[in-house]
Amino acid sequence: MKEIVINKLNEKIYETVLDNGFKIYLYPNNKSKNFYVTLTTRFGARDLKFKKNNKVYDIYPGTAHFLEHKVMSLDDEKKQKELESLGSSPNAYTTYYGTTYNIYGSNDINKNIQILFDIVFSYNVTNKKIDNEKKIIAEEIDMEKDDVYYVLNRMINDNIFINSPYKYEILGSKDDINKIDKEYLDFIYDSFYDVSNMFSVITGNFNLEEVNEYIINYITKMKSKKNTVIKLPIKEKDEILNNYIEKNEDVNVDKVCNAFKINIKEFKDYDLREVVLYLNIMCSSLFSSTSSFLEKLKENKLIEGSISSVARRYNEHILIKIISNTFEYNKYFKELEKLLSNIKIDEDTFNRKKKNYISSYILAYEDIEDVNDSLTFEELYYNYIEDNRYDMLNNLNYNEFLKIVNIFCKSIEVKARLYK
Amino acid sequence: MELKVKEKNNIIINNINTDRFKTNTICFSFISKTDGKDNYLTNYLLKILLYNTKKYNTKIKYAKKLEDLYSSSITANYVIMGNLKIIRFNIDYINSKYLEESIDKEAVDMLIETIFNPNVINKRFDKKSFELVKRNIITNKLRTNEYPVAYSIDAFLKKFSDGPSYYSLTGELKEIESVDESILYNYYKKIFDMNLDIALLGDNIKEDIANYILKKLENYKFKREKIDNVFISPVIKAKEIISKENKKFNQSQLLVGYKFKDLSLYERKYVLPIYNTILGGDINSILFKTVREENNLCYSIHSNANYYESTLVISSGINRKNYSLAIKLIKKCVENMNNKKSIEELIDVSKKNINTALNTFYDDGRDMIFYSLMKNYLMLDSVEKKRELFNNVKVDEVLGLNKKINKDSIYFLEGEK
Repeated sequence: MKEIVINKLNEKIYETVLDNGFKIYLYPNNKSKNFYVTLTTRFGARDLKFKKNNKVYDIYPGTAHFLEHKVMSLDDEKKQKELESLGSSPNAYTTYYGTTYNIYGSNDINKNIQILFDIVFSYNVTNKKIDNEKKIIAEEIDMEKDDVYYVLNRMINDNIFINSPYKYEILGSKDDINKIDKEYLDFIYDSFYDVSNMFSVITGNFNLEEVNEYIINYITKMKSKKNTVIKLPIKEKDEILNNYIEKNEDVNVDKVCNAFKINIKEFKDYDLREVVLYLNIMCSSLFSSTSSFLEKLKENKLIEGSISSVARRYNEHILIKIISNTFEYNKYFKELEKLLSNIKIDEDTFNRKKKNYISSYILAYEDIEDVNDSLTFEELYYNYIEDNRYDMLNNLNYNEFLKIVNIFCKSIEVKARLYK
Repeated sequence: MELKVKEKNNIIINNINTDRFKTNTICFSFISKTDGKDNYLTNYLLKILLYNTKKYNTKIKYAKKLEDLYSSSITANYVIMGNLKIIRFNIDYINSKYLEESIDKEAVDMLIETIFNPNVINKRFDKKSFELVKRNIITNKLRTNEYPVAYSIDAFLKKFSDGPSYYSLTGELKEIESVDESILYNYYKKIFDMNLDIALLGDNIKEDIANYILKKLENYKFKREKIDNVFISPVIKAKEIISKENKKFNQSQLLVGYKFKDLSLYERKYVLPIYNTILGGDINSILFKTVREENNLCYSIHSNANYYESTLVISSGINRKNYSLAIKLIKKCVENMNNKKSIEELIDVSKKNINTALNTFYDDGRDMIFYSLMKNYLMLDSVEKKRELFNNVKVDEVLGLNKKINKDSIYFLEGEK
């Protein structure tokens, strides 16, 4: 077991890497009465093309999520009864980066681990069950479509991405999932649900050595399929499809999104983790509740509520999305353009926003589910756990920030609007 | 977890010492009985108090001050439980163990500034701030039409509720538009007629902070009234009411409501939650298995019991063509609660799930605060006492609720897409 000490917080994570490639991360916290067990495969919604045994295969969007439903379907009555007897709550979720199966409980952690792992590794499905699941997921898709911000985001993604897998929703479309059958799903499961492609994170109240040993014993009994699966990246272009789209929807106030796309090669001299942080500091400075721009637009009755903005990396591009509710979209777009063509953020503001990030960092280890989610994300995204984030945050500096903001101005923009 | 209680000037302060969290929380709770008619004013008041104060008289100044306190956050909300209204103001801030300095007193100052030093001139809230908040409330109200779940719950409660929750928590449009700066200020003064209970939660919050708070409030006059009998006896309808509406959504929303007559306090607090968990608590429940897994009619379906009002509501998102089948299946599930074998099979599972849920108390500061402040008002038992009583609920007691259940309302928001 390797001990990873999280800088400044004195929190400890324990890592074990098995010969078959499976990783274990443990965060014991005996101040909690509960535990949270997760098992993750590095197969998510963004994985749409792969090579296996020298042949290339395409994956239907929505497959990772569909497979999650069938893996976690609890058809095995014996396992279901065992879970029930423990009072534990099983669940699962799919992101672009991976699929995670989890159990939240407070009794007999080893039994919970065994049941969760058994469920995930004993996948078995029929065409009838697949057809039934299509109906359930169709309802889930309809539920999402009733969220106006989901619709707005879809419009942006459809136009700002050309080939990228992020163009597609995690759930896929009804047409996509209707193509799925047993043979296809079994093949995908076989390709990606291999111990060499998976890891487990356990947080909360448990005995460290006992749990580590239990998982090692369980996983080492399993043979790696030694899949020669290679995920194939799908190269995204720097261009966009359309720079303005609008759609009629049952909304009371226009909803608008301005999205900006820039290739990471523009930031080649910088650490990309820091670049994303700097851009989020920029967003917060320009659009959060401390922003004079926001105050001015509200006083002039141009917008209602808050402006939400975020910077994220999508493989070889960084996107910034700015979402607002506006009464006069043309005037709003002009004001935003004026602001972004002449960005001025003083050093006091920068330092105050930096303090925000440091607070978030300190508070990241409060809740055992949040810690688990965070560790899972880091492993999926970076393939390791960050132990020096505090230093990175503390070392963010104003001069570098200004340079990053300057580079951002080279990005391409897509606008989307929903109106009544 | 250690609890110390102090009382002075009709204010009760609970100091909850726990090393579980990296944040401290200070909570001011104003408590009184309510008929719900002023719900819209409460919503208004909380929004304007959190907008700015006399000292930090713009939103930006207020927000920047909180950022200076290492992103401390101030929240305000209110809940209705039975006929009790609880207005809560919280400040969450980082414990001094993790900073170079202690910000306890500044956090107290900021919270007290928010509640007790509003941006008021000549007994009226500042006009500019008021207009901005009003516009925001109106827009949010109109935006409820964009959210099928929120819209359907609001519409359903108008047919279903007997108590203060009949009145929308955010108010109706006419009510919202009728409020001005002076009306709101007069309502603000009424919070001083409510009981004030305060909780301090954190790792080693020193006693001088409680004394500091009491000193800051010594010039205010607070009342303290005995409040009891907060539970509502539901009005039983002679016949089930069915109402439908159409809107342009993809998915339709179905809500089915039931009321229980003459439940004892024990049945409300312990038997009804078990009944609810068996019927529609989670993936082991009768509703989930029947409606979703066996018949594939929905992505989610669950039931929620309100023991202050003795009610139970089943809600689900379905395709409109499955309305009749969904109703039939839901009623079948409720009838199945009469089946002794079904209850025997599921009662232990539901108890175990409830036990796991009870354990989250130890991971949730808000739960700890709620218990310490509300245990006398709501006759709450401790977590371990609850565990004991839940574990002792008998099959016959759950079956006994079937004699007291009454159909009440069905509401269907039909999607047109």
